[in-house]
Amino acid sequence: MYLVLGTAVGMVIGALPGLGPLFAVSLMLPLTFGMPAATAIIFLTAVHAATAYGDSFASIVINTPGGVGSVASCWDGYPMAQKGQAGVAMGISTLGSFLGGIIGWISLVVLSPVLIWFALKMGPPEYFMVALLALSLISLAAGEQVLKGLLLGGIGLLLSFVGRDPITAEARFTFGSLYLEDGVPLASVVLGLFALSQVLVLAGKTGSISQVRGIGKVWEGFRLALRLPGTILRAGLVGIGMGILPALGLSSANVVAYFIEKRFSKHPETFGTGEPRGLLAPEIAKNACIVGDLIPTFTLGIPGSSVTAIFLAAMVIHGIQPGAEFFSGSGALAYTIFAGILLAQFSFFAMGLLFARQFAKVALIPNALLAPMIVVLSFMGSFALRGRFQDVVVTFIFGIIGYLFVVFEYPATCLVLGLVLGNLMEANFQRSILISGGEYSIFFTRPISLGLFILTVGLIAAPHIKPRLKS
Amino acid sequence: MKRLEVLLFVILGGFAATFLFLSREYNSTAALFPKLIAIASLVFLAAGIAVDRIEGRRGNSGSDPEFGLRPSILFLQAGYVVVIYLIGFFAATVLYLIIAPIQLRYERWGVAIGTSVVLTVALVVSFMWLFDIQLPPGAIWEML
Repeated sequence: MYLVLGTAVGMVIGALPGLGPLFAVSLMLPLTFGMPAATAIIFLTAVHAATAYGDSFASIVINTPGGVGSVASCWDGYPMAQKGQAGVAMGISTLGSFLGGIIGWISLVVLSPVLIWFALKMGPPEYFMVALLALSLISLAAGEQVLKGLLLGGIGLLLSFVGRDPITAEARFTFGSLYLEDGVPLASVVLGLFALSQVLVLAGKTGSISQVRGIGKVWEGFRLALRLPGTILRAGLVGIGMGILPALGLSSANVVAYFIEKRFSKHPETFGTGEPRGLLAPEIAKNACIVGDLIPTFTLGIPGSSVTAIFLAAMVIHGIQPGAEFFSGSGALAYTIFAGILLAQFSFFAMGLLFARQFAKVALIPNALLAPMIVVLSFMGSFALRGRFQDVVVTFIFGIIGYLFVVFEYPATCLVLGLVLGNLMEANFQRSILISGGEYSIFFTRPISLGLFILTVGLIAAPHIKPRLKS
Repeated sequence: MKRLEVLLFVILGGFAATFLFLSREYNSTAALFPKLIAIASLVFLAAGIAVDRIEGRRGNSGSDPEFGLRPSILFLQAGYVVVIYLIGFFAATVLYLIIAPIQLRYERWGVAIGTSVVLTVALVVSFMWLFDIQLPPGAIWEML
């Protein structure tokens, strides 16, 4: 019963723009105080997974990210809705989220010891290289507009520096404002850039989002997804990798998975126009990351993200000892929790089957009625996250900027990439230099860091070298 | 070059230049990355403008972009934000969801009014009662 309740609550919260798993899990935590230990963890897992899945609804049908973990789902999900394939997109999202959750579960149950060994080897130099690798995808995100993409990537990085310096804690670029000391809110920026800008586009058009009368079949989405095993595997690995490494999470997993899939595609030009791979990859990575995030939490007692910090709190409240004692000291409890996590994936999958098509019909609502609703939901979502009215103003400003980006074909995704990765990159660079006593060679003398650097150079150089080798 | 795109260049360039200027005040650790990235951004901006001009001279600049946005839509959105601040979320949203569809030439006023009321009530109930999130009450009511 709590499994179904958690799934239902998660899907409703997820469908509301701007509110993601962190909001849902923290809201539900007090409700678990009276529950048995295993039930409480399973309930929160169901909320967590269902919210991440529900986040995609708004991304697909109204180009409004339901949470920071569903930004990339807009990029091909929404074009699919515009082509009258909202139902197909929902099918891909439903099955993709389910498969991602299963992949994450397998890694949790079977591979935890190996993955934890790997995670423990990662230090600041490796994290910096991971961020650099992810940033190198900007060139891919920009498509033909490379210079514009690089410019926006730089702007995104600059935005990420607003707030406090990660090492010295010095306030930077805050103009004396207490509000800006917490940094620029990612959710508000994303809601403005993608949701509000799209409202301004929709307001200039008659008709509905779906430019054909129809939404396609959810089962067709399932069939499309099952024909892409390579995508499933790649995105699953990205999701697990992002999940087990603390500080990398949902906001990075979906974006990185999207661009890696685009990189490996034989037809990258189709991404952004309604390519099923472009939707499947972030959906799988997102839900694999959700479960993968639990690995360091359960096995090391180290929360990988803000959400898993709440899980950690829940475990402590219910007398479950995380870390090495989780398996040995909890008896059958650990395995009960694992079974519950697996059931949570099936739970949201089953509910998704029931409701996905109904959500997809939003794409048939007339623009004149839908556009104002999106504005309201965007502003509400922006406000609800931190309870600050200034976040609404940020969303409005970025809505105008996002519209200009759309009109002049600037790749806004590059700005988001910079904003997501900037802090991670800078903080780990500075930490690495502090550890090495000022020696930059630290990035090239550690094997994993060097390997990641070579991989980054290879990914950037390969598109230019390959044609020459062929000729 | 299109006037609005010039405005966009000015905004982005001004943003990067401001960060470069302000970085002078910070210690070397805090200023390193912002300086590097600001300089790189300005370089990319200059290169982008140069390429744009070259393409324009060659006649490859393409057609003017379609700018279908009516300023009244933007003003209404801005007005909505202001009115939320003044009279609170509930009243502002009911008004906005009635006026905005009509401004967008939606003809079924009854549907617009009904949708406005139902959606606003549903959102207020969910956020304030279910999720315990306090929505903006309105500066005017707080003063009274």
